[in-house]
Amino acid sequence: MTHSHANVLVALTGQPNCGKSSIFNLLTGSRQHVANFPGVTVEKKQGVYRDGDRKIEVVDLPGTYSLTSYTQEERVARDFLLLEKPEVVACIVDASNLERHLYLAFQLREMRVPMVLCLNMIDVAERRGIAIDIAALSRELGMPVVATNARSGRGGKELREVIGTALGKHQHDPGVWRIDYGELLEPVLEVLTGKMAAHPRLVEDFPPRWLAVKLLENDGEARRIVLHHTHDGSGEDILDCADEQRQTLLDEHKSPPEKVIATSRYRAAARIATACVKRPAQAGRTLTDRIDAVVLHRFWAPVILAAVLFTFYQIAIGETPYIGGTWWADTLYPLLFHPIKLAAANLFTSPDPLRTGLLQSLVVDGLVGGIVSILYYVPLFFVIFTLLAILEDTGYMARVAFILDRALRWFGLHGQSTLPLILGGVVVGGCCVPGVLATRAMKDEKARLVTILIMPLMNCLAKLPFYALLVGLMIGEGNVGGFALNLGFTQVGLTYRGLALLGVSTFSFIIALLVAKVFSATLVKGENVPFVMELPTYHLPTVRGVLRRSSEQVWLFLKKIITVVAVVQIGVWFFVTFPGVSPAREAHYDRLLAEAKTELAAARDDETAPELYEKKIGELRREHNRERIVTSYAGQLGQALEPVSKLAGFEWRMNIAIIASFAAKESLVGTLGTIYSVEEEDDALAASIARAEHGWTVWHKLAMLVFIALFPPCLATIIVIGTETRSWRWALFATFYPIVLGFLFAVTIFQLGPVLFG
Amino acid sequence: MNEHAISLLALRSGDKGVVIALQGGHSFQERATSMGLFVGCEVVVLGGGNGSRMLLAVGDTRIALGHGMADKVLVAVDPV
Ligand SMILES: Nc1nc2c(ncn2[C@@H]2O[C@H](COP(=O)(O)OP(=O)(O)OP(=O)(O)O)[C@@H](O)[C@H]2O)c(=O)[nH]1
Ligand SMILES: [Mg+2]
Repeated sequence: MTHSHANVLVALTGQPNCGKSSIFNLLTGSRQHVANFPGVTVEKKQGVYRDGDRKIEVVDLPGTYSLTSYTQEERVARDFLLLEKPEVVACIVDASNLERHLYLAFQLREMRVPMVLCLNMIDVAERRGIAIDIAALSRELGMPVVATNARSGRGGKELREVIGTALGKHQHDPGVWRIDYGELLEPVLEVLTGKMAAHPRLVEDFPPRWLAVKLLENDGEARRIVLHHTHDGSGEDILDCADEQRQTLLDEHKSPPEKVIATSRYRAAARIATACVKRPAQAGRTLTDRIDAVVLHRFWAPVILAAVLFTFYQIAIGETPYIGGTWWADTLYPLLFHPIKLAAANLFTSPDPLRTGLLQSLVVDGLVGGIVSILYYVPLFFVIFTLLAILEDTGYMARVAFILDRALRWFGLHGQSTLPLILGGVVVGGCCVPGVLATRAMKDEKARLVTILIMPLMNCLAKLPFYALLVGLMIGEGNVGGFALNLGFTQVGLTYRGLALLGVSTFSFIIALLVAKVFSATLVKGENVPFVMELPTYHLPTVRGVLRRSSEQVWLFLKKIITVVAVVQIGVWFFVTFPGVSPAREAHYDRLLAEAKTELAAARDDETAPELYEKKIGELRREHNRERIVTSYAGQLGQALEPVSKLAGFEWRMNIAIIASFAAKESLVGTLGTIYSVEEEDDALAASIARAEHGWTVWHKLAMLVFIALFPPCLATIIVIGTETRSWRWALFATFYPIVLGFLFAVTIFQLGPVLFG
Repeated sequence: MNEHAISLLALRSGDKGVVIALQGGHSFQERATSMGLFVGCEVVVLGGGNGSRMLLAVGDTRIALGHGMADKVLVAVDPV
């Protein structure tokens, strides 16, 4: 058998938010990120499905409105079409918005790639009473047309069939189909294509009429193509001719070719739409318009937005049973993740009751412990990503960008910064990694860089346990006004601690905004791009879609983070383990251990002796552990820094914890636990800190809280910042400015607080 | 000609106009055009206006436009 059925390539194209990724999922059964937010897919994604004995490779190209070379996505999509030469291009269009979506279809048609048209969102069109004559449309465009509903799966089979048939044909279309560019442009196009015809190398690979149109649009990429595929300066000749013609059109007819071209395309789209689409007599305001009248209302918009964000916040990190993210994390941890740690610990048996072996401590404390401490957050993440998916899928997220654009712009940000910042944790409990990644959808390079740079100031999930610990030390339990709403299975109330947490995140957000303002005014160069954005129609999110999205996000996060965390944890483990307790002190511990053993042996008859022994050993072990950390490299550094950190009220204990958490903030509370010699439990830690540090005033705690709120990013974040900005200088900058900033704030609070407020 | 070329910013909620020019930079023109806000199309102002961001309806598409951008869209309105 020969491999006569090699892989064939099918590309999916379409304007942003037309449902490409949904179609991709429908075809390949994979789980692409789908969202009701234009521009979600910015890289091309690949998948495979089988059609009989053929293996069909599908590429989900980024959504583009057009195919110029002005934006990155459009370049990605165009290069792919030109260079990879897919056998078939499926152009996905929004059936409820056909006229506009044809704009892109026309350009693909001009590139003469073998095409099929996929009329997606046919359900939306039908709901609006829009009827499309598919046969007529197919005739007009000269390509097969299939109606689909990517959500329900309707039309999926037909789409596969049509793609299969188109693949069988293996022929480029003859090029009779064309857009009429009018009496001004057509003669010019004629001249240009005539000139190109003399260059077989050029016209074999690129449709001449398409090139001619692109040259008139003054498209850089098209010019390069002409130069590369001709020789003896005849390329320049063609370009000169195009330039000349452009100039004539501009000077004599006062009509920029771009405008004529665009208008002609729209006229063609309008003509086809009139011929093939029947819509009900202008229904007046659609449901979306009526919702927007309230949601974007001058007065109601901020009220609704605040309510939505507040609810988001209360649910995301709330402890409300069955709803709150923290509740899920706390409930699932002992069931799912803690056993992993126990199992790892059980792999080792240590003859020494005081010390854990090096390998054991590396595996159990360093590696598994680190990963398990991240796993704790997975349920929380899931809740957060689910909420975000709901917000995006309904279409509200795009409105948030719209509502906030003006305010954010003043700070050098952009309406589109909203989603990345929320992911990063404006409302407590995000993660900078997805936050930074989400800035890819931003068109405004300057605002994008500023958004990335302030990301470390957001309230990532890992800061939460520490906030909770300190807030717990400062503020008592209880609900505001003692109020709790009883929902039967669960109680919802506004706790004082919750309110304090909200205060912390508000504070860090305000600082982040001010920092953004300063950065965009000084450090970050470039022009801000104006705000233009399409607001999608409101959709009811589907349970399946939302869950699929959130689980995919969580999975992406885990993949990105686990490896980095593992490496970092080993590094941290090294610094808090070595050089180890001195031999003299070890001998001291051995002596104490031996004493305890002899005591146990002597008191054999005493019933309480074994219990007493266990307690003693426990204390010894904790004491030994504490000494190990205190004398470690991290410990030494922490103590060396005390003279400086004292200015902010931080003692060496705190310094050590901060240093150890540099790499991953997850370990902050854990390290504190070890230093204060307690096992695990948060409450016990709070109590033990309260006992050990009865000298702490509210200013100590506040200074720490503020410092951590502005704390530098973890290593994973630094890495993504580096890759996304393509500059390690920015990554380093984003690492160090928060330390300086945080420290200055902490010192100010610690020094001025007592003076000002007694 | 009894049409007036005015900036989109001057329109109020509910007003209609026909786009006669996009004065922004090239990339803005391209973006606006491909979103459906092109020379020759009819726009209806749904919200905003009075100097703030605007919400427009162009056919079935809803477009949000920043203040600076709205200023660069010239529309013709029928004289009243
Ligand atoms: N009602 C309905 N909704 C759909 C259909 N196809 C997709 N959607 C929804 O439309 C929204 C956008 O879908 P995506 O698949 O993310 O669109 P995309 O073209 O990949 O978007 P970008 O990657 O952002 O360019 C999501 O909320 C989908 O659930 C459909 O046929 N009918
Ligand atoms: Mg997509």
